[in-house]
Amino acid sequence: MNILSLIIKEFIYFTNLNNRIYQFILFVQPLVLLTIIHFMSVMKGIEITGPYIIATAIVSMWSYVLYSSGSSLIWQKWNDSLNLLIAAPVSLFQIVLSKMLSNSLIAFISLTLTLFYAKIIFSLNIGIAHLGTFIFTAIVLLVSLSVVGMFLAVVFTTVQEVYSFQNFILTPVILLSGIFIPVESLPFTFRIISYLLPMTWAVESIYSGLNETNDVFLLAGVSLGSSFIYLFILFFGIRRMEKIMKQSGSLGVV
Amino acid sequence: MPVIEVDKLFKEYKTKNGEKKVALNGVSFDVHEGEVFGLLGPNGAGKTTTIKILSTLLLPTRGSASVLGIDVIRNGEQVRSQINFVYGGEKGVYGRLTAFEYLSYFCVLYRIPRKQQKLLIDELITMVGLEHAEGQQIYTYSKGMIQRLHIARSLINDPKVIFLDEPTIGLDPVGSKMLRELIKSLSKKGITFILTTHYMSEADELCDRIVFLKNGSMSSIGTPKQIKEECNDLNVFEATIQLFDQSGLENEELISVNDLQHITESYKTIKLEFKKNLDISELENVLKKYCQVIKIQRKEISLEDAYIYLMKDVE
Repeated sequence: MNILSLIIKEFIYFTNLNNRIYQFILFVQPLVLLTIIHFMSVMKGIEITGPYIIATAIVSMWSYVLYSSGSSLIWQKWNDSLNLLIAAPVSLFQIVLSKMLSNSLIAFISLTLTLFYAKIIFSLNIGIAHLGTFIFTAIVLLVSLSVVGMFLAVVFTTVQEVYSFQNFILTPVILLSGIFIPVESLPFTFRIISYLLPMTWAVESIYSGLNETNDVFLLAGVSLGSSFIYLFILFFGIRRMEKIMKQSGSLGVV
Repeated sequence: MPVIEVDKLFKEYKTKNGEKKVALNGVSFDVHEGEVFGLLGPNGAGKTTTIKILSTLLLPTRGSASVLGIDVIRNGEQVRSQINFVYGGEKGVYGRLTAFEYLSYFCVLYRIPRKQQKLLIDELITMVGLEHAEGQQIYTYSKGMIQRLHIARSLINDPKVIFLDEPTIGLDPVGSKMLRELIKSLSKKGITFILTTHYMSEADELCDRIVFLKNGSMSSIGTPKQIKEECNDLNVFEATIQLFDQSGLENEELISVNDLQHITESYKTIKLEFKKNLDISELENVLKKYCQVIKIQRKEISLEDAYIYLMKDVE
C-alpha cells in the first residue's frame, strides 16, 4: 500500500510542529476558544453542551487544514520541488491526497486537546453518548476536511492570486458549514453553498450523534458521498492542472 | 537504436504581456546509450526547455521526442520510471529532513519496495560521499553536498537516462571535480547523460558529443573535437607583451584583442585574434608597433573559443 507509506512519510517528515502559527492553532487556540465560550456561558447563565465544545474543536481543525493544506502545493512550487514530485512515477493526485490526509490527522490533535481541556480545565460534560458513533463521525469529518484541503491546494496553486486571500476563506467557511450557526437559518443562496460543502454534512452528522438523533449515518453518508464526488472531480482537476502547467512551463520557480 | 530521439521540436511560450516567444525552433538530434551529450548555449537558448520536454515536465508546441523508444508526450508516465534529473542550485530539497529521510521519501515516490529501501539509500549515500552527514538536516549542507544529494536522489530508480541541468553551478573546484568523476563513472556503466552547462572546460572534459543552441535553434553538433575543427579559420594567438600604446593596439584593424591580463605592472598577456590568415611573424610585426613582444604562440582552439566564435551574433 504505497498511499499508506506516503501518508506515514508525510506525517513523520513534513509535520512542522515548530511552526508558531501551527503551534497556536493546534495547542493554544482550543483553550482560547473554550475560555471564550466558558465566560459567555457564565455571563448568559447557559450551560455549555457537547456541540459547543465540538464546534470550538472544529474551528481549530479547520484553521489548521486551511493553513497547512492550502499552502502545501504552492510551497512545493516555490521550493522548486514540485518538478521532482511530478517527475516521480506516483501520481500527483496520490501525493496531494497523502498530504491532506496527514494534515487532517494532525488536526485531530486539536479535537483531542479540546476534549481534554473541556474535561480537565473547565470540568464540562461533553456528552458523548456513543463513543463509536462519535469516532465514526469524526473520521467522516477528517475525510471532508482532507477533500476541502485538497481543493484549496489546487486552487491556490493554479490561481496564485487567491492564495493571498486565504484569511478571507477561514471565517466564511466556519459560518457556511454550520459549525456555530444552523445552516437552516442562513439565506437561501448561502444555504445552497453550505450544502455543497462536504464539511457541512460531516458537522451535522457529529452534532446529530451528540444529540442522539436518528439521521447520524444518513448525514455521514451524504458527507462521504459528496467527499467522493469532490475527490473524483479533483482527480481530473489535478491532471488538468498538471497539463496546463506543463504547457505553460509554470511548474517550477524558473 | 538511439536512446533519445528528438525531431523538429518547437516550443512557443506566451509571455506575461501576451506576446509569443519561441523557446525552441525545430531542434532535432539523437543520443546513444552511455553517451554524455551536452546542450550548450547562452541563457535563453533553449537548453532547459529541451531538458524539461525530454524529462516530461514540459509539453512541446510541435515536434516529437522519445526516450528509450517511448514517446515523452503521449506516454510520459512510462518514461518517468526510467529517467531522472538533477538541476543546479540549492532548491528542490526539504531543509528540515536529513539526507536519509529525503531519500527515503523519494523511495516511496519511486515505489521502491520497503525491504530494499535502507540498503539502497546506504549504497547511494556512500556512492556520493555523504556518509558523514547522513543524519544531518539538509539545511546545514553546503551547495556541493546538496548537489551530491540530488545525484543520489536521481539514482534512486536506477535510471537509464539522467538529465543534468547546470549541475556544477556554484560548486567549488573540489565539488565540481567530484561530481564530474561521478558522472564519468556512471556513464561507463551505461547511463546516458544529457548535460547543460556554462562551463566549457567541463563540457569538453565530459561530453562525447555537443549541440550548440542559439536562440532556440541548433547551431552546431558534433564531438568537441569536430566543433573545434569547425572553427579552424580562427587565428587565435597568445602573446606576452610590454605595452606602450594601448589605444593604438585596441584600434588596430588587423587584430582583435579578446582578453588582456596583467602579469606585472608593465607586462601583460593578451589573447588575440588575427582577422586575416597571416603567419605568426607578420602578426609579431603588427604588434611591435604598439608593444615589445616577449613571447608569441598560436593557441590551440578551446571549446570556449569555439563557443565565443559560434555565438558571436546571439541577440
